[in-house]
Amino acid sequence: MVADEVSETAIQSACSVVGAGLSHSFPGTATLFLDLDFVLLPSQITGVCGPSGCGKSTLLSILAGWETPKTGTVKRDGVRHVGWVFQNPHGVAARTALDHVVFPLLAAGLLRAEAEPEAMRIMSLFALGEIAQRPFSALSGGEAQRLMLARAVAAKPDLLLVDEPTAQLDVTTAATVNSVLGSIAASGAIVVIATHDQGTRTVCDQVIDLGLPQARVKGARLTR
Amino acid sequence: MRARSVISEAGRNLACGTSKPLLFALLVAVLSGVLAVADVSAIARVDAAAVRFQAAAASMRGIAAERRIDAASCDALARLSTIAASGALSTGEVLRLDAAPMTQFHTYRVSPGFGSLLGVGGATTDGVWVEAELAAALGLQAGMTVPTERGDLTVAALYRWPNDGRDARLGFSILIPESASEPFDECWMSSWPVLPSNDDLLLSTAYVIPGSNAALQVVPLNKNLGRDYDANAEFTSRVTSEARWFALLAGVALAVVAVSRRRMEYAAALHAGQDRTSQLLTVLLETLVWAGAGALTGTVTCLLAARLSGVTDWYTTWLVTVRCPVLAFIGALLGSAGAILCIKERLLFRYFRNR
Repeated sequence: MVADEVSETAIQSACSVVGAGLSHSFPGTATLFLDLDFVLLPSQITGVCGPSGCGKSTLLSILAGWETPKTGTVKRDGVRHVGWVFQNPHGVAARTALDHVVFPLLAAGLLRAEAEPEAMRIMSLFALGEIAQRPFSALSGGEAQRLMLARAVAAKPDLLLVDEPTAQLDVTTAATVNSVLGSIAASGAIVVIATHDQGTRTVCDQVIDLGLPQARVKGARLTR
Repeated sequence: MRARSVISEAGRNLACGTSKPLLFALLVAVLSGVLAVADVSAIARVDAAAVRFQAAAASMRGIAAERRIDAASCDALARLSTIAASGALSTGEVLRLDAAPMTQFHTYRVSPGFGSLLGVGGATTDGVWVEAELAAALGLQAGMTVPTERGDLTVAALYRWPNDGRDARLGFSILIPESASEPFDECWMSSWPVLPSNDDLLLSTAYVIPGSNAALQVVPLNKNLGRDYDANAEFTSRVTSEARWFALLAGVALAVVAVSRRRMEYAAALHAGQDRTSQLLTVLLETLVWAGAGALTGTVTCLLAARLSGVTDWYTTWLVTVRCPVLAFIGALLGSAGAILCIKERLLFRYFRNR
């Protein structure tokens, strides 16, 4: 199996996620995916592709450990913190954009005076410096989506799950986000992106295509 | 998360309205205030009934035993903490006034303590006590001297004895205070609340006569207002007696709503790395502010209601009814703590899908 073939590499890495024989369906529905095997490694971007309703978000939920697969296992080694950015951004309407990025840093033990400059640095990666003091409710969909990515990055996840990050972005901003996702992966995180976007798909090192007949891992043998 | 950050986050959530502090404070104030005012109102009704009961001498009880009452013992009952006033009474001879020689007036011999039963406890016993309506009919006032067939009598005091169902004998009558050294026929006492245990004390004022098996009976002096009136039972069974528990539930419910409407934010905060303790403290600080402000408003409302209700003891009434806002406050804190501990990071995806 694919997972067996690369497991040695995974063991040698700082952290890894190994899925073996994953299948899932909800009660009363057809099987979403069947017998998936994959290995997710640091500094890799893995795309999860497929049509709507094929189980992309469900697979992310299983990777996060919030959903139990019907069959198979997910082994997370060295993954201490999982970050998930949902398809539709959600935030606290009256709090500023800066507050949203500062929060994970405060949660990590920084004081606000220390957290704000770091949050501004992260926000500038997503071209959000100008709107730092705006309340969340005043952000456009694209700004809010980038803000959620910035917040997730501020939490320094070992495994970052991103659901359709560019769905609400224009082409230029989408390219910026794709580039930043590459930078996040390069910093040593495992990045998994559920996407329809061809541009995002091209930055992925491997793709799990849930649209294929048996939803097998496509390109899992690829290495960086 | 550091303590300063916890305080800062709670403060920012309050300042920017994320916690909806004004709305929830208002709801706590209204709910706890309405319950407290309703309780004040119910207590005022019980209090008014008790005042009417006492004003009609219905809290007086007596025993009758011809020439068997130890008047000194009877007067001494009033020194007990559970008895407000007591005194002995015997029927006296009729009296004719020089001004109305054709009319006979009923007189009663009373012990010195009897005046406290009539509200003339401070009046001198050197003279007679005249019922107010009789005094008005005869044009008598306290301090006047009245010529009678027995010589001049000084009116030491006037007392009121309305015809409201109470023992009518003292109406339109003249009471003559005497030394408590002689046996009397009756002993009366007034106590509030009316305690059954006082009846035994009343019975103890009667001399025991060997061979006499006549059972003495304690009777209320106003039979119209009911022998079974129990002010304490009226108070404890008032319709709002459980209002404080509803206030507690209201506080819990409001807090659960306050937390539930922000469940996705809280789950996302856990997902962002916030620890449980910091989250609990942040939520409790926010709740402390809005529930505290609401409860304080409810407390002041309750205080005003108690002061304006006209109850005999507004302070005790306030102490009883202020439990509504206090328990609403405690309920809000408990509700917030319970609700926030039910928020799970793993439910974030479900919250997101269901929003």
